[in-house]
Amino acid sequence: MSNIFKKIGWFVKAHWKLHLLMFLLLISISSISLAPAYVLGLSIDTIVSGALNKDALVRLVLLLILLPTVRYGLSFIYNHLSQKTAQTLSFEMRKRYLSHLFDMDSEFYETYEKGDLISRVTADLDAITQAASSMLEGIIFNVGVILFAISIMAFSISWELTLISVSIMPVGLTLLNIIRNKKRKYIKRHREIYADMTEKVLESVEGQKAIRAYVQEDRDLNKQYEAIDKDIESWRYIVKYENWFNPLFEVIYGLAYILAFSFGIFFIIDQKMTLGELIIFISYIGMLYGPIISISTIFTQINNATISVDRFDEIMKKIPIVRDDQNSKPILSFRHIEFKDVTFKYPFDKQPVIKNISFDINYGQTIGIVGPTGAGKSTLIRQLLREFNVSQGSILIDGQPIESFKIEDVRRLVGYVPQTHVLFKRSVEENIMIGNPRASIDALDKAVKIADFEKDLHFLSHDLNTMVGESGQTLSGGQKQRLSIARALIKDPEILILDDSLSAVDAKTEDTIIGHLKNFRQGRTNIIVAHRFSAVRDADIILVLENGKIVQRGTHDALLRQEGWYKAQYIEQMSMR
Amino acid sequence: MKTMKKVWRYVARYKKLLTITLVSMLIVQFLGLLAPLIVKTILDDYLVGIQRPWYEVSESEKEVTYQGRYFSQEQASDDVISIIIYRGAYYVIEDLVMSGHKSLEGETLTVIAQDGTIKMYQVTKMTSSEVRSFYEPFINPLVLLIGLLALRFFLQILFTYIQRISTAMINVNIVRDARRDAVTALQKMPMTYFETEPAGKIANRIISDVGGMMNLFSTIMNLLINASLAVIFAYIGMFYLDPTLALMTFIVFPVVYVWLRFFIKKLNKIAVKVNELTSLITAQLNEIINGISILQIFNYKKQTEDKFENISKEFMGERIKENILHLSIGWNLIRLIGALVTSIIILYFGQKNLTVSGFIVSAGIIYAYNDYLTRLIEPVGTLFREIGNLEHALVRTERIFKIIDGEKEDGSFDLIPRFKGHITFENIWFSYHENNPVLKGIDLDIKPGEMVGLVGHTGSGKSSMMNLLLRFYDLKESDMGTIYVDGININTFPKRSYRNHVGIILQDPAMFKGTIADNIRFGKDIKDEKIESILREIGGSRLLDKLEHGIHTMITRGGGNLSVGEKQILSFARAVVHNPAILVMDEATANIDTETESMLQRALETVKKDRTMIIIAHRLSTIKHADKIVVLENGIKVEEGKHKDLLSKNGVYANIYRSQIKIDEVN
Repeated sequence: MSNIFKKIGWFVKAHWKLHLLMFLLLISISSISLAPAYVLGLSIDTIVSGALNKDALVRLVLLLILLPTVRYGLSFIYNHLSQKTAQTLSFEMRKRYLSHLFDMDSEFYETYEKGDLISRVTADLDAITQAASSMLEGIIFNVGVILFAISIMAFSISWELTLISVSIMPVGLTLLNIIRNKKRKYIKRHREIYADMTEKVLESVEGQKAIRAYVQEDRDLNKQYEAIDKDIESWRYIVKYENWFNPLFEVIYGLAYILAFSFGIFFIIDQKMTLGELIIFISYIGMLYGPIISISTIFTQINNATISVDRFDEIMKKIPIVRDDQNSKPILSFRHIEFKDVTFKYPFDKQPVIKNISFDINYGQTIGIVGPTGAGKSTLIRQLLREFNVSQGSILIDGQPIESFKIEDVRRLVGYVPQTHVLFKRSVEENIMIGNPRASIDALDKAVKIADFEKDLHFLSHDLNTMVGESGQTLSGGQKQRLSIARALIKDPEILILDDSLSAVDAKTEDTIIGHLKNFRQGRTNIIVAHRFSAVRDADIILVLENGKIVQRGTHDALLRQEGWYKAQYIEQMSMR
Repeated sequence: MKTMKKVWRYVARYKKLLTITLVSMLIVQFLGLLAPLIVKTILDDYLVGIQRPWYEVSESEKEVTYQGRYFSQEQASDDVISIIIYRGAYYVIEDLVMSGHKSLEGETLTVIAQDGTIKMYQVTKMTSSEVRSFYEPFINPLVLLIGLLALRFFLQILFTYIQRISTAMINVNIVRDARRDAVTALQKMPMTYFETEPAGKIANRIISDVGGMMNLFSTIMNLLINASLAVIFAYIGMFYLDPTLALMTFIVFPVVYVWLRFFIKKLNKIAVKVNELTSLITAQLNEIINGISILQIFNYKKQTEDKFENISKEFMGERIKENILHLSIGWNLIRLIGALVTSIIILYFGQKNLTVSGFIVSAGIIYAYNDYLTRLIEPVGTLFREIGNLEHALVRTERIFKIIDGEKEDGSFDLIPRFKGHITFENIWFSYHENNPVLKGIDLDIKPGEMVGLVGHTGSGKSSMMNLLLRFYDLKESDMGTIYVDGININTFPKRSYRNHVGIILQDPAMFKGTIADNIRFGKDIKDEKIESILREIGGSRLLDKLEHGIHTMITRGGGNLSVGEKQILSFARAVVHNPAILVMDEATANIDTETESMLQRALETVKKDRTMIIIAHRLSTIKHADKIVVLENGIKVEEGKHKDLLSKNGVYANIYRSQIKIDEVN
């Protein structure tokens, strides 16, 4: 429980006045909830004494209307405030979570599955907010009711009767809870059995093809039945003992009730108590039932919520490896970038993908990168995006390590067109504007034009306003690529990176785009990773990457003069045309 | 209603338990009717009963001795005394006291009757022992009544327990039966189903949506049966005590009906919105996480957050609105009404006491009526609380029945002799969705024992051909052509008999929880030693030696602790054990290290013996030595022949080949 308090303490502190108000409201509600029964008792006494007249009747009835109405109002205010705070808390936590997701690096996204990340901020968050709001109510309201009821019973009715009847409740309850908690341990075992069943069913669904191909349906079904039956029997066991608990508590409660009633009658005869008081007393015993049960279960509820709290917190506590520190410097433009002996290994791989890479990028250069699939071209160039930190060596921007600059600023330098196209479920225009939300219409038109996306617009049902399905369902591969290029271009970046981004467009379109780039991106830095040599032919320098190493470098002409991969592949491509 | 009928199918299997539940419910409700009546008797007839006139009688008829005189309430006589209880104290009056408003001052009691007559009486306060002696005749019946009250209480606990446990057992049983039926139905569903729905979703349906069915059953039991019984029994009690007031409460029903309709309408409207927003939030998160790298690279944090926050805020607003609805006209109002009932009862009886002559209201009647009316209100509260759950339970139940009552394929199985393995595709036109053929006029003849490689880009139709051969899909009426095995149309065999001789090795082979031996055995009765020797024979030695427990090593679902290549090796062994006449292998696309690759090559050499083998190849090196290579493009067979022939033809195959081979091979 303290766990939850620790985790949401900041929230309570930030809204302490509100929480104080809610606390006072709860206290008032718990006291007012006891009042009507008291008035009923008074009424009965008045009637029994024959002291009832019009005035007394009106007074009593008004009181009996007023008290519940006030309670209705207070309950309304309290529950509204409580729900509002819970929802605000949940809103704030969602916000923090999303913001946190943005700070996480690629390693994080390789560790956690998407579905898991989502359920932590939906299902788990629900459990947390629910527990957070029911905790206050559960404890304060119930304790309030119990304390108020017992004080009224003891001080204004009869302390002897209170002692006789009420004291049996905590004693019995404690005993029962001890028994119950012992059994509760079984629930952990049940969870395992349940998980086994889920796994089995999931396995059968996933392995359906194999099961059918090998005609194992019957055998597999029997295994599934077995898993299901095991879970059911385990559940039946729990249901059986859980169902024992209620009647046992009811018996204790029943004893309290019967004791109160019989001794109450005795006290009436003894003139120690009035009839109305007996009725108040018995009503209060009835009212104690709910709160006592709630308090004994609230702790289990809270314990369950701590699992959710831990899950949520696990993510929030993750610190990305790639992150800014206080000394991170801003950067607006650069003159020179140097890769110095850069080696990079993906966090979960054994072998590095690129090894000891050194090369320079001067401002205004166009650099081509070629090589067979899997040579590490994309990995190399993505080092400029600050998704990972390099494993060895360093990348220097104007002599300073790339890590010393603000991540956001470094990324602002770059316009990146990825290999696989990531589009979002919004309009084409909005997808392009992701590159630069503040871009003007002219800039948009220009980007569309350079990317040669203009010709696609008539084929789209609503022009730039066409909705793109998730992962770009409505667009063809080529269209997606051109859109991605436009998205990078609208940023008018210092460095444009085409990461094998022209694979899905035909040769003619490629020529057009390359031609446009030559015109519009003159004097800016461009890095082009490509399979077709025509795309990199005019680059200032071409790097040939093989098995994570630079094996050749030079201009197109120079490379053709050397024997090697470049020449061989070039001839191959030319002859195939 | 249709859904209820379906649920009834399951409940009906447990008629005995159901009868027990219903009988216990009836008993519990009947016991509930008794409680207020017993308390009322204790209060009115005995505790307050002392206020009835006491007549002076002879010693033999006495019930009570007071100041040397003998009194009884049974035998009327001329000498009468009265006892009144005033604010918890007892007073005796040597006269019959008129009914009316009483007030006591000193030793004078003033009574004002309804007609305005005023009478004054002299009273004497009684001592404790005197009071006790007057109560003497009541002690035995009181003890009896309290005993009865206790008995009733414990009987109620007992029968409530029986009712709860039998309902719970029905619940447990129907969940078991429905789950079993669902997994059974699933095994017979057409393969399409598994390709359109993610596995997690299907499993979730079977496991947790069944809970909806259980909720539906308990809600109906609670709302329909228990609540109706509670209402009926409460009315019995109320009519017995005061029919006029009971009749008056009937005006409440139409009001509650209209109110409930209004409430549900409002609630549904919000619930729809809340659901929409919930899935919108999930969809947004999904999209954001999918595209996180792009969003990060483009520094698109602020805008994404703003958009998400809008939805998040709207969601928050709807949740608050939902709560306000409950607070204003939901449970909070019902509780208010429940509490106001007490005031109505006091008003009604108090008023009657003051105005109707001869009517004397008693403590017991107020207590009992209050009790009954509370019982009447309670089910209304339940109704408002559970009506939302009911909708939800209905939806979930319908979903689970979509599986249970879903489309079923023929599940029959006869032993048929092993095929020789001659496969003929004859002019196959096939489409998953009508008018969108993925196979266009495929003709292919594969001789027994041949090894054939299928080559083509994603979507060229390779997998579709194999889906047809394995009969995961059947040709529909709108399709054309026939597939023959050993000259017999494969559709004439029962599916499962046919598959007995056709095996498959999947791209990412399915591994089941259990040992490696279990996975290779996969239902076949075969000794461990044999399994090990098969595994070694096909080149799995390296894998086996690596594992501490050899073939008894446990693997998890999906084979998480194995690489794809290793899983394929196990899958090969599985195929050898089952010895199908025709084996289809879908080569793994994932990057496989050279060592594993050569291991797989060796395995292939062993496995292909004595059967027809079709390989969907991604790395052409695998099928270089195939008897025949078939190249597909857009559902059309474009090339067919041996590796060498196709290379010299310099067509599609040669092109793909060249794009794959490494530089040193070219040199």
